[in-house]
Amino acid sequence: MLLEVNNLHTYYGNIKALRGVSFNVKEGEILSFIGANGAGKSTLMNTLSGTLKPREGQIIFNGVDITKMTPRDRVKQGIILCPEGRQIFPKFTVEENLLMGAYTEKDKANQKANYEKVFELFPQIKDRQKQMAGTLSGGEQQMLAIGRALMENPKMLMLDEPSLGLSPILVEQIFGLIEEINKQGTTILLVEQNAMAALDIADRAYALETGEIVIEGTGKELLNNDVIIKTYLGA
Amino acid sequence: MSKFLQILVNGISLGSIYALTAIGYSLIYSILQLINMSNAAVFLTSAVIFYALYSSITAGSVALTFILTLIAAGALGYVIEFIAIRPIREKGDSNTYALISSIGVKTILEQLCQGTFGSEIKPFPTLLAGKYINLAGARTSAIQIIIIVVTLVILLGMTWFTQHNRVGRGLRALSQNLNACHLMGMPVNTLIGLSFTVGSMLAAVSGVAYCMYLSSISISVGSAIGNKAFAATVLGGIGELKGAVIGGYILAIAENFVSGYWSMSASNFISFAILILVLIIKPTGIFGKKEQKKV
Repeated sequence: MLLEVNNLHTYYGNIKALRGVSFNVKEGEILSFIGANGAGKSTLMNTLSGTLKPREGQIIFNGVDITKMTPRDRVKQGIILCPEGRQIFPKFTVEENLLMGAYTEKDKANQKANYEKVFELFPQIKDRQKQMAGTLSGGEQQMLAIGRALMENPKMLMLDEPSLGLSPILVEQIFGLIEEINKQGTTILLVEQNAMAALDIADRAYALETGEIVIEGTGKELLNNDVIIKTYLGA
Repeated sequence: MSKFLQILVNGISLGSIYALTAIGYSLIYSILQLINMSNAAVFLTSAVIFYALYSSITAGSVALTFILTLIAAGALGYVIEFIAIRPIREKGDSNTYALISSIGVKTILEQLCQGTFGSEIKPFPTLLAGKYINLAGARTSAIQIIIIVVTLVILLGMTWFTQHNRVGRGLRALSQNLNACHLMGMPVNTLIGLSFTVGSMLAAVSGVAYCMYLSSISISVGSAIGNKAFAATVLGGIGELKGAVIGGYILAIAENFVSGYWSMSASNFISFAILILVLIIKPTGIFGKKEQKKV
């Protein structure tokens, strides 16, 4: 197991946002979490990335207990979050954004190799290296956000709502790229409101409702599950 | 004409002093949305440290005293953040607590200075005392020229630092999206500490330069200049470094013209009159942009 999560409870003030979430992620797979607004998806991501602290529970990544680690130390362990809403640095160029992604990577040669790898994946933003990130289109900003996270060469990439605000064609393109990143050896943990897209590429998936896992299975199983179809696929 | 020029030169040299201190306010505000009130006290403390060192161990060497003062001020800035700001930030408490904490630090530093230094005015070492240059009729003291040139060099240095240096660029990243910096594994706490170091070192240069300009030091220099530098920051647009610099120059030049052509006492309230006008007409200042709420 690359990631083991045991009985995670996270609060926002006094509101319980995660109620005992347990799951695991195998090395090399794509795991998706689907759920409606307020189901606890982003809370889960923030707890795993370390910007929120759980009140109870344990997170083990690659055999190391990271429950009490800072976000920075988690990144050094190889687990990184590409956050909801992209959160690129708008007043930086594409190049500077990627450099910030590589902040912990001090080895220049590795940095350069990761840089090339990102541009191979996203040739569209390669042409815009010197452009201010704030002036990129939504799809390009999402590519940049993913590229910035890949600059750390993570073992596991977590993505929070990568489809947010993108047209269906762009969603398809971004999810194709996520599959490509996975094929190149990065484990993917994805949370999405767009259940169709998320389940389509998932090896395994979970449905999250008011802070609890309610359904689990392979991506295909969930796509054919009556409850899922009714609740999330709107058919 | 020569009176006009004289006032302008005086305004520019005083503006340099405001600008350097103002950058400290603006830099920290841009990252934490915190008005770090301790900045004015660092201005004073640095001048007192310079005075104390110069009148004891490093007597005679302005350069050595200056370097030691800079190091001390930089360390002081980091320690202030570490002790008084970081714990509040990490607990997730509101910035109001941090603001009050910074006022606490300001008070403590001022009291310490008063306790060790006393409340009388004392002579302060200066450079090239009594040397004047005639600039088209404007009698400009050598120290004024030195202050203007040093400030220019520092501003160029700051521009390079924030554009091309890894740490400097990191500080700019913090001011754009603190959360993303955490997620990218950047050493956020260290960088925030360093922003206090940079702000304090600039306040130190400013404090020492101001006392050299007056050739004297008293316990009141900190609040006098600190408050005006803060007004300059708001005038230029808090959070924008170039705003702090330009606000500093505008304020100082306006003050000098008011005292030159009208009255000395009016110049003391002109800064705050401008400040209030700015807050009414354009609260974001000259360069400030409307705050965009990040969700």
